[in-house]
Amino acid sequence: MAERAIRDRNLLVVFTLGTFHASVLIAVLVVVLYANGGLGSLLSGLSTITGLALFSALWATTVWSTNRTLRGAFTVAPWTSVPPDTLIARAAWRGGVNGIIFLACVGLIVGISAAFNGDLAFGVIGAGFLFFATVGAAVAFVIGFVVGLLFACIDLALVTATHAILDDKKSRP
Amino acid sequence: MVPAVHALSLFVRWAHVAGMAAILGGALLVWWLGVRRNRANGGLVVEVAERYEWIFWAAIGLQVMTGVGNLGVFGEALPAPASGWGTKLIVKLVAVLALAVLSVPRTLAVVAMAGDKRPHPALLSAFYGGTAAIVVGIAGLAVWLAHG
Repeated sequence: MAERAIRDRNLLVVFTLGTFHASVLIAVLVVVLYANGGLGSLLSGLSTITGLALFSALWATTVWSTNRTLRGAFTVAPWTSVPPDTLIARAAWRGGVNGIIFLACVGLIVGISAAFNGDLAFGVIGAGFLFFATVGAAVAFVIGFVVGLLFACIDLALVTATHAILDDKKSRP
Repeated sequence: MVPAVHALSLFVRWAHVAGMAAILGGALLVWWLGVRRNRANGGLVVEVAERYEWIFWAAIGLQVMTGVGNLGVFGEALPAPASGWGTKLIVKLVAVLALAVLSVPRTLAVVAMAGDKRPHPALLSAFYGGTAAIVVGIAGLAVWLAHG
């Protein structure tokens, strides 16, 4: 019973941080693209179903990636005894892997969407696969690595803030 | 008969409003339980808060997903960022970002309270009262945007 409660709390922290990363990333991209005037043309090229599938894929891979980063890291959730630099390095690496997995999902979702629209040729599939498997994967890893690094720093700052809030509460009479 | 594309658009809008209602309703419920701490014990409030956090984060993901879907309906006709509507949209998006950032310490604190069995009802009330206030502001902006 107690073990299940601990596991549920660990999962809540993983789900929270994974959802936080995916949502904030997309919200920031939307703000930046909208402010630069590029959002309308980007969204008009995507069907609603494709857009929903892409966000669902990003959400799922990011929660999975957060789970891999935090596996075995909790002492009592949300606290950890793993040194911050180890966690940051782990998060950056996992972010890079997440970038590649998400890119594969993008290829799959856009490919299925194009097939349904009837504008997909085998030559396009071959060229697309070669691009995704080489240059695309490398770029996705670097972007994921940097984003993972940034979010690890933000997460650690938020954990420190939580510690400070709770400690302040405990020290009051 | 409603065309499939309109049915999907309607479903996306419904999910957006339902997600917002779940976030606001849950925050108000936990805030109310916290301020009534003489009648509801602290452990119960933390337990309800812990369950709410699952709903909150699932709803935040849903809000972002359906929010982008709602913007996609505009396509190229999306009003310019310099317009009045555009400014309201940017303010709303920044408020959503602030809500997400400020909610992480709240969730972590609830998990910590549940872990060490030491609830702080006053802190919980402050967290959820603050969350409800921000969400009311965002909902107000959403209504304002919907009416042009």
